[in-house]
Amino acid sequence: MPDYSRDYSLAYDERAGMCTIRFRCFDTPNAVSVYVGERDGEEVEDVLVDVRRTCLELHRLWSFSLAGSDVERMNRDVRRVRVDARTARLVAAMKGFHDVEPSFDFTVGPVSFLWKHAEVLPADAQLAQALSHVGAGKVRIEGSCVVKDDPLSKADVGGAAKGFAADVVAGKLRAAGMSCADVDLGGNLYMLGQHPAGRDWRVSVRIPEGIAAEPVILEVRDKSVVTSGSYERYVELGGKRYQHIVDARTGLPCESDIVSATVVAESSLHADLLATTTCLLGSRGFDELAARHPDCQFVAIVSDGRVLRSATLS
Amino acid sequence: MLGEEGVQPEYDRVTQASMNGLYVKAKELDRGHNECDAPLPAPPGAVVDAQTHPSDAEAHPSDAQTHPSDAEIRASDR
Repeated sequence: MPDYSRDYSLAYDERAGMCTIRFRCFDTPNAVSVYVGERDGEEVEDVLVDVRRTCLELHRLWSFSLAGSDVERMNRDVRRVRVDARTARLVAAMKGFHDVEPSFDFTVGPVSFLWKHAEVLPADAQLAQALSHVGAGKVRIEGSCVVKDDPLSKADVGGAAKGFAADVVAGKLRAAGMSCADVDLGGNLYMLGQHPAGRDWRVSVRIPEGIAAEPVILEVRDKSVVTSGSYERYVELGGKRYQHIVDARTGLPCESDIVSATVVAESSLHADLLATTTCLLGSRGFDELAARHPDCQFVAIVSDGRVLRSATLS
Repeated sequence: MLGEEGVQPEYDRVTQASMNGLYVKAKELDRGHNECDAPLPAPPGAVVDAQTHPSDAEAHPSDAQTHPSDAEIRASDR
């Protein structure tokens, strides 16, 4: 049995009064910190280790590359796959979001996978073939099964998985009585309660390299802050960089002028979905998208350095 | 990041686009050596299709039928 005991680290910051677990999951570095206060330190550590275990469970359900995961099995050439209840809820949520925001389509899998593994620019015929299998309407949940009208449909859960996971983690922390904590899943944040100093958490939005934009600091409590953008994940083909968010309507990597989109919402899953959608719609669609979701706050950094803010952002 | 005592920090945390290494940077990642990537045991009845679950095929005869168009598509993909 492999020894995974070094796969995570626990550290206590005495000055801040917070205990942090750091671990790798969802192919990103992650950190969850809890304000210890008067609690028993070992109890807090146990909660954090349990949080990591939950994240690993979700990773092993949704990793597209892990043989036997729910997503890997869903993406085989079959019509009906029994999945974990959490996977069913994730798929249902993405399908429901697509009904509200049609530009987001989780069945973009055939196209996004084509771009991910491309060594050269995909041919038009390849893209057309892949696009023919895209369509959220072809996938539905029946009980504990994902049913695909088109067996070649493939789900890409990258736009929602960490958001769902962050919500689960926040729920576990609340259930354990932790009222002050922060969750960081690869930059996808959930700020639980207030900062230990009794004020709102201050979250900085990273400005992509090479973009001359003013700093953006968000003050939040009990909210998730999720950023989607084109500056970290990309493929390079023929000397040109193509970003990872693929537009299901065209089959092409998103070419919008928004390089970074940040959404603040009570649900991290909702924020995750909206952040991706903000990138897809570009600066032209920003105001209308924000108006359709008045319970959320939006910030977008445009390639020319402009910073767009929704009216809901004070 | 949390600032010194008595000094208001500019920010506590940073939000950024995920550094998920599924794309170009994936080639540089050390995969398969973390617990999250350990092989999964095959759960029973996990894939419900005509080949593994005849009872489901009876309930869903369309799954058990051969679809020549599908076979053609898969052959052309190879």
